[in-house]
Amino acid sequence: MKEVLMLICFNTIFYILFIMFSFLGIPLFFLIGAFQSIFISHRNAMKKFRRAISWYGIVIIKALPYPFVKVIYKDLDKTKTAGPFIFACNHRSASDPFLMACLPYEFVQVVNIWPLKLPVLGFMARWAGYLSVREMPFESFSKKAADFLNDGVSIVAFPEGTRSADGSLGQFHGSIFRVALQTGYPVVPVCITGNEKIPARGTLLLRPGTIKIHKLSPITCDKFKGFTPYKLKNMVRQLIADEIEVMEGKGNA
Amino acid sequence: MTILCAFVSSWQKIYFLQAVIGYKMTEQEIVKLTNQVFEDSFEIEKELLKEEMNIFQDLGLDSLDIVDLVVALQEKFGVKIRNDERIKGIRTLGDIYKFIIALKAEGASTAIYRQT
Repeated sequence: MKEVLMLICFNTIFYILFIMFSFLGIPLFFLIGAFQSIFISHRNAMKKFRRAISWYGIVIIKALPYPFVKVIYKDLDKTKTAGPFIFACNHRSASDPFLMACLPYEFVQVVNIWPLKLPVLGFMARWAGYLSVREMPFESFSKKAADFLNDGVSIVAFPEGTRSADGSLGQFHGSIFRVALQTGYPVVPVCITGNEKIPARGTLLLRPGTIKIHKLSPITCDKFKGFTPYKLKNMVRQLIADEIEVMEGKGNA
Repeated sequence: MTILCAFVSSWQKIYFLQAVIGYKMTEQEIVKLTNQVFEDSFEIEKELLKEEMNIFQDLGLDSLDIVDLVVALQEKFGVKIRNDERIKGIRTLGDIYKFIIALKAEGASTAIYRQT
């Protein structure tokens, strides 16, 4: 009973704050961005706009659900390789795209069709240049992704394509790895655990928990030179799977 | 003939024999060559190449990999399959074997029809 009451209380507070913050924060960010774009270059305006989206994500995922949900981000990269990067993450929950705000880089995300159809958020994502991989042929996708990378903007993708129903790691789609092979930019595996029920697939109910995000070392182009896209995607998938096992206490640290 | 055979791969030998003496590929040869495509193009381990394996869920191929697979199969077997509607129904490795066997049979019957 106590747990049910706590859940009702947590979800009510979160969604009220979420709606209020979205209705006030998004137009505010948008107006500030539009005003700044008069005085600065388009490139700088986009950089600030994407940074604003990240701040929005940080508030949604870290501030609003606190103390019921805690987010622990760890950068396990010791190489200090320079970006931009192609981030490949596992996908268990609708909160994953928001969690990407923890990555301290300017990025665009590769998204499915439906997030771009969301009111306000979809418009912002389109304006920020988010790539709808299913709405364009691979050649266009590849060219746009390469343009972003050459411009210093990282790409975040969830190569499973859809949220995992049972928490297991699905098979990977190869589009983003083909871009890596074509452009030579490093691929960075990112692992997320603990958010399977924040919220679970098919529901909006949030449950308390601790979300862990581990950013692994980049796989630079010299390590995947001559690979087929299939081999590269499976190599990254294996690295993510191994790290998830460690994070969930099933593997060796 | 021996010198020539030393410089060509096994499937090229099969084509050669096919053209010169009307040699037909056996089902086992088709299975072997199809598996070779998976090993060469995707570096999938031999042990995974079983008839019942789903090429998407078990072997992890995606739509772009299928394009590569079609090109590799076309080259290996000297057939045109890109616009064949039957590809859409392929799910398992066994489906691919059956498809290629059917294609080769159709090719042979077309050749006989042309000869007569």
